[in-house]
Amino acid sequence: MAKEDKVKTKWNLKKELRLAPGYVVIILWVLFTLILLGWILAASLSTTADIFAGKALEFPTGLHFENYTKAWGDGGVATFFMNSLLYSLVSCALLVVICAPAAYVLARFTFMGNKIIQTGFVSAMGVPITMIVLPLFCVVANMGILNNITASKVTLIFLYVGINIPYTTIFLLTFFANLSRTYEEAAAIDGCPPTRTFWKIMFPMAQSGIITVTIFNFINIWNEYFLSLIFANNDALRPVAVGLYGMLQSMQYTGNWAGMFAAVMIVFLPTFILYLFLSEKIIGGVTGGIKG
Amino acid sequence: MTKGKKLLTPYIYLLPTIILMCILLIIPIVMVIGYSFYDNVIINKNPVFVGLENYTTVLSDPVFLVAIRNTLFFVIISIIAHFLIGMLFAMLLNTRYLNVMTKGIFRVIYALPWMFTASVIAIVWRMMLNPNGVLNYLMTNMGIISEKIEWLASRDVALSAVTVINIWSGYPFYMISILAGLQGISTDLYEASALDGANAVQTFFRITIPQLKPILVSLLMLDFVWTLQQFALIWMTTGGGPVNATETISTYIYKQGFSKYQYSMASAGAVILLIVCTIIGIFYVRQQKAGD
Repeated sequence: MAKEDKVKTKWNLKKELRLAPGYVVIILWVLFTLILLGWILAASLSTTADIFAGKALEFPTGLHFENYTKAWGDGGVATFFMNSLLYSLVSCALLVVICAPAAYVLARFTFMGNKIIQTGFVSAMGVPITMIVLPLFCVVANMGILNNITASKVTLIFLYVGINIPYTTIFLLTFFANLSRTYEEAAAIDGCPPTRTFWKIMFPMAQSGIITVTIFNFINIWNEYFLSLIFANNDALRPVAVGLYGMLQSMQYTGNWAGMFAAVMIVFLPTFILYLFLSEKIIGGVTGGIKG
Repeated sequence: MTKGKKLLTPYIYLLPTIILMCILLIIPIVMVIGYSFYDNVIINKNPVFVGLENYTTVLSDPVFLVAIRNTLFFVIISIIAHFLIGMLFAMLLNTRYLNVMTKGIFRVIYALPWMFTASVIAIVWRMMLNPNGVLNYLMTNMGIISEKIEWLASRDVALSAVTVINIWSGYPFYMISILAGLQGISTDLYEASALDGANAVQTFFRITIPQLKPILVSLLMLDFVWTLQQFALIWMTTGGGPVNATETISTYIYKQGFSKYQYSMASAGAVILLIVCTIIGIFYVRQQKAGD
């Protein structure tokens, strides 16, 4: 062990010296991000007048938590937030239920068309959304869906699920391919039918991959902008990505900066908390998923 | 279980994904290609087949040519920077001389931009890059620039400014994926190379890079496609302006389709974008096959 440690230390020191200029950049980068976030946080608890007076960090009139309640209620963040939550959660759940079985059979079974379907999913990842949005919009508009709130919500979820299928399936496919076959073989010998084997044995085993891809999907859908801009043409439908921008702009012009920053913090929190608690798992899951 | 049922099982598992892919990808793509050969579809009840006329119009539109040039600049610079920054940070987070706690904190700080939704990124950066914003304030005080720069409203720097914003918001995905890859590399390889007297640079190019190759190829391909269709950030920071200085293929297609209602022109633009993506996709599939 002693020898091994020595080798590692030597290698690290050398690398450290060579990377010295890089460290300066890294530290500046961290400072920049922290100052940015700190400033947003401070401003969200301050008042507009204080922000303009450059006193956002001094809180001369105390902490203003009411910015948050105001942005949530009067500002309309609540609607956008709940919409996004609904879209993201339902789409993520559907994606797992639809893609996991597909990924599993593609990884494990030999059948006609397997390779072609895999290639199809890989190519589908490369199809620009700009490409499919025109005809989809025409079809949806012609069906009169855009005037009905519930139908529009279903359509949006349908679209979010659709555009994330290729990536989710390919990610889970590599993950299933890396799992050991022993358990399935044992289950087959015991006479367990394939469907049961999948849901009871393989699905739980792929848990870390499923969590990782779900977090990716959640962040993607929570932040999705283009489809929402085109298909959510009503404030009651808009998710945070689109709704927030309009709101932020109007707050900027009406001069409610403190409220605007509070809205920014509210929207930032879910993805942040998700990542904070699950970043270890994400990295573990990617190792299984991408390594191939 | 009968043999027939067993043969069908994989297809039943795959059915939902395939149906969704047909509705959301294959049919719309066919429709877009169709649209691109007719004059003003959708608005005109009886569109006339015009062959390649839309393509010649689009390709001779100076705005489209500027959009192609801008897109290339935006995509190439973004991908290189994402790659370098992601690699640097992942290497740092993977070193052994940072303790677990520090690594955990840095992993969250570095990934922060990934958790901001595009509208927040756009608003925050617009405020920072505002002529009276933080950046101009710092740079004039430090004597780097003599007069305030309109970062997003100047034709000379707007494209670079937007590219920097995209770099800032996109590198965490690389960092997380590369970090996962680095953690998957066996330490035996590093020990062996250290015993053989390899220096840090040799170790990096002979072991780290080849071991990461599958992940790096996937990342570069995915990022190429994603950056190529980056719409939200550009739309919310500059809207393609000033005077087309930040017009990209995505904003061009959106404007043609949804502000000017020139669906045929938009479709022709989209098909051109698809052709580019398909060429890249072919390389990706080949790379995947070579890896198998």
